[in-house]
Amino acid sequence: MKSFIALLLIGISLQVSAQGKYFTRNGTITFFSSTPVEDIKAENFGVMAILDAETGQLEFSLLMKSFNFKKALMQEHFNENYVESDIYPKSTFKGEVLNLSDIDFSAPGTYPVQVKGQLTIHGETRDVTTDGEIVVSEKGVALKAEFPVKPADYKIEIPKVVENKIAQEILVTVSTELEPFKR
Amino acid sequence: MKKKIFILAVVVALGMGALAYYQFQKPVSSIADVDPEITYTSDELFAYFRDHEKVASQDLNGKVVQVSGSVVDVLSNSDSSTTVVLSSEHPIFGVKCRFEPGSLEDTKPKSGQDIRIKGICTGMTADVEMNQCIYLKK
Repeated sequence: MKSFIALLLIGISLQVSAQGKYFTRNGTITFFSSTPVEDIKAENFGVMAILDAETGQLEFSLLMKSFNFKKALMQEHFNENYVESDIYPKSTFKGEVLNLSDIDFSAPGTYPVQVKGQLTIHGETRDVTTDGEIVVSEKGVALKAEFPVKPADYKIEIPKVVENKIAQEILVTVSTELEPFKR
Repeated sequence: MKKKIFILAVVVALGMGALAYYQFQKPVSSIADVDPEITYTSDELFAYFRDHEKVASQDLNGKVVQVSGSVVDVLSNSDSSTTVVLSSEHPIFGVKCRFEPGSLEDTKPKSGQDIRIKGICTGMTADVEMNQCIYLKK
């Protein structure tokens, strides 16, 4: 993420056009776990995302401690026991839009996309490919996607005493609006 | 005597059950009545994380921090909460403060305004992030 941002800033300092770059610092990502015992939902409204419309490069970064839960104990267990956010404070995604040529960023509309990249959670990195949508409007672009994440893939250990309360596959939803990057 | 002990045991068990239920169901509490553990300007806080991110994270993440600074941006989030960005030496990034929905209705800050807030520090992506923020009136 820092390398992408650095390149963005170098481009701006050299007065290379920043056109084609979209950015947000308050994107939304939620995750949802559903079991017969309990449904758990957490929301993060501070997601940072950058999309380079010229290369298709796409990056997300968020802080695990910025996930909001309804119940205090759930938030505490999530941070202290499951994702160990003191040790692994961030989650990142670095990837690209595979079918960039299908998108006309000058024509408002909804474009189905396929995105591939590397997702890092709890210090573990996995390849992820998912379908989604890019919605182009006069304001900017909205990114939408839903994909499953298995806590076990990221070495997130769920204690046996609560394993029936947490799904083996968590649904992650990305719904983020980016605006043209301007200094 | 045995009957009294039995009744007492039932009452204690019910009490403990009620306490456990309350603990499990208790919502995330507001920091309105919590004093900040430390105070920074937004320049200082950003510089601390920029220059010593690991140390700053260990030092401040999860703690109530008071921050003062100049507003550079006010953003509406998808859940009707508000994010206020405070300035730093960096041309783009600074201290990002999220306020719960409705908590800024009468006092929404404007760009260029100097404000004081307290909130829970959650770390740094490119901005330093503060959550559950409360606006401190002068």
